[in-house]
Amino acid sequence: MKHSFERFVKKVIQETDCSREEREDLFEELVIHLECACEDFKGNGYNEEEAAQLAMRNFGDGKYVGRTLQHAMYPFRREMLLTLSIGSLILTYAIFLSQLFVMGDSHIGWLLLGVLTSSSILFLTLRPVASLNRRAVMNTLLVVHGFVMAAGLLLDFDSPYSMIFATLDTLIVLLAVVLIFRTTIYDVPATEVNLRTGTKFIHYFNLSMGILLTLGTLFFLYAFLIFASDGYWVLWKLFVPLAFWGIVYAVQLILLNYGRKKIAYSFTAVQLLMPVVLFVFWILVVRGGAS
Amino acid sequence: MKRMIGLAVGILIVTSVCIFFGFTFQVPEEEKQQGVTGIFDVSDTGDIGFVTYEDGKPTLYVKSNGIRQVAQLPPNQEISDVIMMPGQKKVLYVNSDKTLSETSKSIVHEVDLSTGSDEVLFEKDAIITELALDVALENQLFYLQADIYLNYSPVASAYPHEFDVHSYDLKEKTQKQLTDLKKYNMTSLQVSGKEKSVYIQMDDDADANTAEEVFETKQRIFQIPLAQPDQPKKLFIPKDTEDLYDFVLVPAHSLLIYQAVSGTNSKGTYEYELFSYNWETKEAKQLTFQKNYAARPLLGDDGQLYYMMDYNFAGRSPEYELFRMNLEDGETEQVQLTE
Repeated sequence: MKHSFERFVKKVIQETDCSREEREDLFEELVIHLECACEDFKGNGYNEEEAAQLAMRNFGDGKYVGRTLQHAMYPFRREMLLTLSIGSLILTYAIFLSQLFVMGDSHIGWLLLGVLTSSSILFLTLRPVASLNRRAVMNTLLVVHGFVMAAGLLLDFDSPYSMIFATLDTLIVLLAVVLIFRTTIYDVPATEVNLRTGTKFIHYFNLSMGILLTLGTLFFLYAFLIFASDGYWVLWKLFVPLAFWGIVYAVQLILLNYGRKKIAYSFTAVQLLMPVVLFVFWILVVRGGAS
Repeated sequence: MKRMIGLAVGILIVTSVCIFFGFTFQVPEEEKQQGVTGIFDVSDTGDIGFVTYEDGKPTLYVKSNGIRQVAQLPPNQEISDVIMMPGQKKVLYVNSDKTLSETSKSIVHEVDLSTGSDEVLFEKDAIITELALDVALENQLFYLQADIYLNYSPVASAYPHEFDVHSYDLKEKTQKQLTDLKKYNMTSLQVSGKEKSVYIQMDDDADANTAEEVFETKQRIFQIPLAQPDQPKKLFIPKDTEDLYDFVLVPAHSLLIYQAVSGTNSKGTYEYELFSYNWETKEAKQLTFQKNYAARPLLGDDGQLYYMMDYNFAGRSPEYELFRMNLEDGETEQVQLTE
């Protein structure tokens, strides 16, 4: 009996986007709930097998219950991910075919990257894989997907539909950014550290700073490649502030986990300096190093 | 699970179909060009030689009583310039690789319009960008030659550099290098047999030493006397005049007609118009107001100003149309290049 309850509950949990700890708690709670219901039915004169079947039937359709739980825990996350992945897939095909038949350009590499990241998000949303650290995987996918779709904006649009495609592509990139914020800040285990306003502030601040630094780094990289005729070996230096940002972000999270709030918050000032460091690197190290 | 497999198979099929279409329908870069280019010349009798692209193939036409095809090259070639030989039923043109490289060469052709024969005058292991001649300097063909081809940045296209003016004696079939300037860029080559000079547009960078000074350099017009080719003289133009690009001299009116930026459109794209500067009255005047890309001004023997207008400047493929302007009253008409 317990075995069939466990199998049933696994199906329910499969539909949710919980962390491993949440999943274990939920699993335990739901199995106990079914066992109690089963005991009640047995008390009403049903034999063990009938009582187990009735307990599961009364609980509802496993898939439906799982999705309702997911919606209650992370409102509209699934819908947002489905919108992003299906929208991206359709847009990727549409942009590819438009480029091919209007311009004669075949961006097969971009098509494959777009389809790969979109369908990975789609399948991970439709059928979450319990063994994966899903938030880390999803966030990585969202970042890569954001870059791929942003690269779509750089394709040479010169068709009557270019404005529509550019607008839709921008919306997709923005949705990916929103989901990165959401996955990092809100769709996290409800631990004491994660629920703290200070932790959320640190995530908001660092993610915004990360986007700013990425755009700044790409801009300076572009400016360097446009104007420089030599000195490409210094280009790696442009990525130093971004790498430093990542390290400081990780250190802040470790400090928060160890309860060293003040030191973690004080590192925010270091992050605030990163755009200045990037600019100084550009002026003194990179631009000065080019001929 | 079945639905998931169905979805995966669906994505796989659509992607495979897209890839198949991609390989089947993609158009090679060199075959994409279509339509009239900005390259043209007008003969002393009013015939017009012009270049178009047909599925990427550079094609030379001459418009006389009708329009006839004179030459067509493979899509990996481009025709850089055309000259209608004064007093003769002949056309000269120069072609190079469409995708230039350090090993690109240029070939100068002479087409006899009476017989249709296409004869190669000479070949150079360099890039010839423009041709010019003047009836007063009989048998002398002048050309701009770039000796190197490189990109100054990995994301910018490579470009011909180290320009100098050369000449070719059509009778003796000999070549001669006239200048030794190795200029970063030179365009709009003109010849005056009367002044025994060539005129070119290039950077006015003689006094530029620092990077900032080079950046501030303006494009100006220089006269290079054939007797002293090492002493280019800058033509007078008010100091506050912006960069000027293509130009034509109209000695009869003491006029310099030049192409310059007049402003930007709503998308921020530069608009190029033709202007004139009168050396006698010292007056500058805007001649065209078509708010696109007016280029290649040319003075016909009929005294009219011919120029090309690109209605899709900075777009993917240019849309050139030829215009003719009466310099006396400014009246402008389009010259049809199709039948």
